[in-house]
Amino acid sequence: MVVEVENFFGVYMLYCTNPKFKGRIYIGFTVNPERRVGQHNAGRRHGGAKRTSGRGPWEMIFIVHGFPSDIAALRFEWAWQHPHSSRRLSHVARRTRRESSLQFHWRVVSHMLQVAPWNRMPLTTRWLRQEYRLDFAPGLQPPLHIPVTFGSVRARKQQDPRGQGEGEERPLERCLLCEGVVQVSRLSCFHPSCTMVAHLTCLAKHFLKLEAAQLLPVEGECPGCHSSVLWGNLIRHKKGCYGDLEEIASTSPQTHWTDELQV
Amino acid sequence: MSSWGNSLLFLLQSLFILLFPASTVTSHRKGNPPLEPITPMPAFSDMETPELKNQLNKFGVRPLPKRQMVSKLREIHHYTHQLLSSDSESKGLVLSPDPPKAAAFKEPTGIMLKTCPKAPPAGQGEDGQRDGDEEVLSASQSSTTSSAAASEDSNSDGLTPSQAVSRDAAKLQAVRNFLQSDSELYGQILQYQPLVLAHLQARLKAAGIRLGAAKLLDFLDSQCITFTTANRTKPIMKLKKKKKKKKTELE
Repeated sequence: MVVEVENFFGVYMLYCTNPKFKGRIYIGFTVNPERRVGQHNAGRRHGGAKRTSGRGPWEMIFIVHGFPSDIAALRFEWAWQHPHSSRRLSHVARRTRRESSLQFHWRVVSHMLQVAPWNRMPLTTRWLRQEYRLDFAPGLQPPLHIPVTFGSVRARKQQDPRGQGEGEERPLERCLLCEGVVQVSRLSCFHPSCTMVAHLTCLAKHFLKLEAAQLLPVEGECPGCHSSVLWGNLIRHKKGCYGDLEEIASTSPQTHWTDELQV
Repeated sequence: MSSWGNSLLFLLQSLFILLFPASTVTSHRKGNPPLEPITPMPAFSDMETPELKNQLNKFGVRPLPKRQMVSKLREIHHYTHQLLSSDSESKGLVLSPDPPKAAAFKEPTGIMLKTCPKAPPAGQGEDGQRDGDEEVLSASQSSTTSSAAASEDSNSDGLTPSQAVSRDAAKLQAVRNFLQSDSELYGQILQYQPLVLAHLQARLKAAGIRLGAAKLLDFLDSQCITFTTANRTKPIMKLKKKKKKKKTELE
């Protein structure tokens, strides 16, 4: 089972299984993890990074995804690669002698998920290779809205950009919160049975009732169906990413051959 | 025999002088009373690392290797505490009445000294806090930031740290209100669209809100607002040629 995600931005960790370089770690950014690991293993001439070229095979063991933009993901990548230069990670101690590279990078990323701005982003952590799995140290648990998941993930091209057309033909809708007419900046719930429609700012205000100091909500209760929803998912929904929200596991025949390849 | 004994004695004497030159020197110095600090310097060298970090944090200096922290704290102490001296020719530990030279505050460890008569030149003390921030500054060192920082410094004269804190809090509140009231900006934020830092700074300035670059960045981080220092209005072709990755990331 492969989870497919649209509008994918991820930062991954590669683990070197070459006996000569065993245990080396590489941190990178990608919009397509399956393609990227192939590039790393194919070498520099095929788009692999210099540092990983000729040292394979590499395994992509862990990835953080759900970044709302490439910029957000690239900054995460940079901080993970340079924890001792990052403004946000000055409290993270250097690698100790007893620590393996994997353990060190795990400690760094555990800290990263706890500090701003990443502790409020709609992120998902994913062990692509469960056999390498490490647990969060006590006290370094990520925020509750960041799940720990397992298994493969695939970047999917956005099927149809429905969400972009805000001005298209739609019956007159009213904001569930302020009852004003909703035209631009429309937000709706992604649960199939829910009909909630609201202004972007109205819903943000509603979600931030308990967090008055913040500008950008993390999650809240949908005023329509009363289920707890992540703000990040509402925005993804607005942008037209429906697939992974409905948790559709891919079984489409035309992608089978890549499944075979990435074993 | 006796000549041999004499030379041995001489050798021993010279050896003694070589080994303990101080014993002769100190007696000369007794005349000058040693400098007495009005407030004694805390025993920085005996402090544990976390304690040192806390001490440095008071001055806005980030954690350093232990030994550097000790010397940095001593340096700060010398700058912030006057020494009581009876004579003027003593060895330069006395705080001179004129402002400390900027050279004393070297870039990598930028110190923020609120108690100094004058802060070091615009933004260095408060904003230049090591590699990361320097990059940010260089990217955004438009007239906006430097002039804002300069005026901030002149305002901070005679403010206690707590007053400075509450003033900063008021400024951050002003930034917050500004972002929330501007429907275009707030819409961008709510949809996780990165803000172009230079644009934001220009708009804040136009709105009369002055805040140092480092504080603005910290605020944006705390609010989970993604920003970019790359200027997206430039032709995209150029950006792509120059390896987009390098341009967009900036911590």
